[in-house]
Amino acid sequence: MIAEGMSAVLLNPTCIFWVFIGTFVGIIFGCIPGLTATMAIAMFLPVTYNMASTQGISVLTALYIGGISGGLISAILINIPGTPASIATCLDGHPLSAKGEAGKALGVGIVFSFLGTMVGLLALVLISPPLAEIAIKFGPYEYFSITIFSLTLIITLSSTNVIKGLMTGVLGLVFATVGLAPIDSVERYTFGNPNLNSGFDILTVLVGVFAISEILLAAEEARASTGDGSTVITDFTIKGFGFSLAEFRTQIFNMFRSSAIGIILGILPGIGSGTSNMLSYSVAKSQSKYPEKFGTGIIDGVVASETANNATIGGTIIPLLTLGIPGDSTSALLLGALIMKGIQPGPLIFQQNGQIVYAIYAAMGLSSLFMLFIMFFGMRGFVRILKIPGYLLLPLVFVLCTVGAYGINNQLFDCYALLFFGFVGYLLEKGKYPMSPLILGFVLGNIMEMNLRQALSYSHGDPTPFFTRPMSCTFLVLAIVSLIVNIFAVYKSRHKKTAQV
Amino acid sequence: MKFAKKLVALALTASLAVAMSGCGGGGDKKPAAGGAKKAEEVKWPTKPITLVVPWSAGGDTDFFTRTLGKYLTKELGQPVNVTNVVGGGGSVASNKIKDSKPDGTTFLCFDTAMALNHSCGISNFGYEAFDPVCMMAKGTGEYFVVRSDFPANTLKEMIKYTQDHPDTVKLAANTGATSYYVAVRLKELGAKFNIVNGGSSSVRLASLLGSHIDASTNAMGLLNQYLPKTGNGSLKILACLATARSEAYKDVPLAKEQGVDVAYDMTYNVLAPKGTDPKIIEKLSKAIGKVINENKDYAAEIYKTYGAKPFYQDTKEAVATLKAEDEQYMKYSEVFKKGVK
Repeated sequence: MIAEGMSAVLLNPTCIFWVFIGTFVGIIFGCIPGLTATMAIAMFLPVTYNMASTQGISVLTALYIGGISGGLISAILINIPGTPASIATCLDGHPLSAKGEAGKALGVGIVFSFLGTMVGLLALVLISPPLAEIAIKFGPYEYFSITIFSLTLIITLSSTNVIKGLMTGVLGLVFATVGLAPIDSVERYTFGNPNLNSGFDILTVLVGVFAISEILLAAEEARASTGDGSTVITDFTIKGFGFSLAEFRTQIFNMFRSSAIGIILGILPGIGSGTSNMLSYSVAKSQSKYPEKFGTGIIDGVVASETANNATIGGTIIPLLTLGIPGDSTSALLLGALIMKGIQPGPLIFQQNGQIVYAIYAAMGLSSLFMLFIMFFGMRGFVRILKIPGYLLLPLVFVLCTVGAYGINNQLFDCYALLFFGFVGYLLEKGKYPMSPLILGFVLGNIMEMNLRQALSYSHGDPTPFFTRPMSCTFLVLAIVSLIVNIFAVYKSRHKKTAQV
Repeated sequence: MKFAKKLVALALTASLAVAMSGCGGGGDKKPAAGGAKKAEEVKWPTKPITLVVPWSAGGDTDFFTRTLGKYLTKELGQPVNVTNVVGGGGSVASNKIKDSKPDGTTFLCFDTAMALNHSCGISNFGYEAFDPVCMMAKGTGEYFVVRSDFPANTLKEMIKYTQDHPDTVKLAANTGATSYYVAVRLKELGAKFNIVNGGSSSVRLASLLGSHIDASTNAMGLLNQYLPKTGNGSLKILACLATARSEAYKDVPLAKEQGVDVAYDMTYNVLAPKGTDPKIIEKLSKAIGKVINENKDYAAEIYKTYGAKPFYQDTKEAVATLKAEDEQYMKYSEVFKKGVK
């Protein structure tokens, strides 16, 4: 069965071809802000109807992997994350690029994306049953506590100004409340406009706040300056992957820790690569010996972010296959595709459809290899994107983002929402408010509220189970500890600064 | 230098045009073969059609719609795309289609939950806000599920159990869904559950396994893999909540037969925005009917995954069915709106 499944992918030239196409298209969709892997999969779904199950699912898996991996390209080169999974990559990836070390940033991102996927795949292959057991044990209390813990890490994401970070984080939470409330569907902030019933889409928020604001700022700068446009000379000759073996060795522990974070967040449906990259970055920063260097352009940040978001893929597939629970909108489409092919995920998937499972594993591995391959050769080309003058590149990005926003639900409303968030992002940037906490707040807001309300309905409004249940208590304690430790660290560094002055 | 700049600009514009054309169609990847059909009274469809599902991919409505859409593409000669517009228990999608252009390009594929939405007040309209096209499927029923070690073996025993241990058995019910109706009916019949929100169907099953909830209402599908005979035996069914036993799962007793008067059917419909040309509706309905009644592959697929038999009702019958459904649930409107505390 293992052999059957894997050979259906690895020994079949048509399948190999399609996995390559899938990875390539996925990378393109991933690297263009405004286009997402979800859209790619939705477009390819009808094509897969007439393919054999293994081939069809392999293509979709390849699109998924390409989509998550591709985000790093735009994050590093133009400071706009291609997908929510690469937000934290901007934080150190772009400064590296600005310093002239784009090649190194890309190389690091690519290699560690590959490694992250592989570790995730390993976890999937070797320990998915116990991981699925853990996933079942997580109830609404635990989910709520984990989201609270994740939100406290906003402090680390914004240690330059904790208050401002908290403000944008809360703003993100507020934006998340727009729409019909979970559970009782009460209208909130919809102003009677049915378009707002489902709330804002993560794409419009992400792309608006990061991309549109970036474009507006660049436009402002271009008008203000005399147009000398001199940037740091980027070294376009990249040796190998752009970084040394010695540097690689320093990141090994980071890689394993980030993969673990990615996998764990992956097995919890609802919390996916959008959160894992930021969480991993924050943890890497708090545990680092040189936290003040984060944000200035060090590879640790890129490693943490990219390893985690790719490891999450492996993690997400676990509840998808063993429990039939998709972790995000992209894997929901994968689930739909599986069911269309007559493959019902669940505890018996190994007995009933073992070949498909192994085919998925094979496709994941093959696709990661292709990703590494494609990006390695594309690296030198990508870096040259930096050579394109802003006044050509950014309007193009603007149009693509708007098209992407329209593509969410085929309505212009999302494009207006995009512009709205672009403006919000612009104002935040001008006021030097960090933007990542806003996204984190927005992404986690819904999950947090839903689980809080569910948990309280279970216990009839009694909050004690949050503390008496072991896992929930652990995360809440961790949240409090991380809050104290980080605030203390910020306080200390500020004291040091004033002492030095 | 200037020329190079122009070239770059031209290249970028060209790629942009390609990207835009690629993004617009969505489903044009497979141009349908055999577009030349005999001349009909109405020239439709001339553009790709979109079927909107109010739930996220992977569920029963999504499955029936996608399977139908797959075969409908060949039947109609135009790509039939399925998109998911999620939120508000289905009301985001129903609101959207209700107000969309009645030009025969967009249709809503909803289910019994629409009547539930109407009676719970989540939407202030029911089937009458649309021009129904047809009924496209009938579920094999939903089942009352608990963990296999639960001290009750029939729904009647369960009700007694909750009366002896009031408020301790958590029953998952989602506002505006059939599970809500079940919870309310059981409460009427004297059961004393702690009614909580449960999430989507696969999430509910996982919650059951993890002992976060104690009882749930689920369609077959994934449930199979947890049952004693067909799966790993971690869950058991107390009763089937449909109006008749399904052919695929004959051995499961009905709640009705146990003396618990809860019975409802899950039906799946296709609706058009009000004002759509009746000729288009007729043509679509006939095409759907052809697929459902005559296509053996379609029948095989729905039986394999859901144990369902092909079920189709033409426009007139569909309106009658939808009306009866709406009335059945509107009876509970006051109760629903008050909440199930």
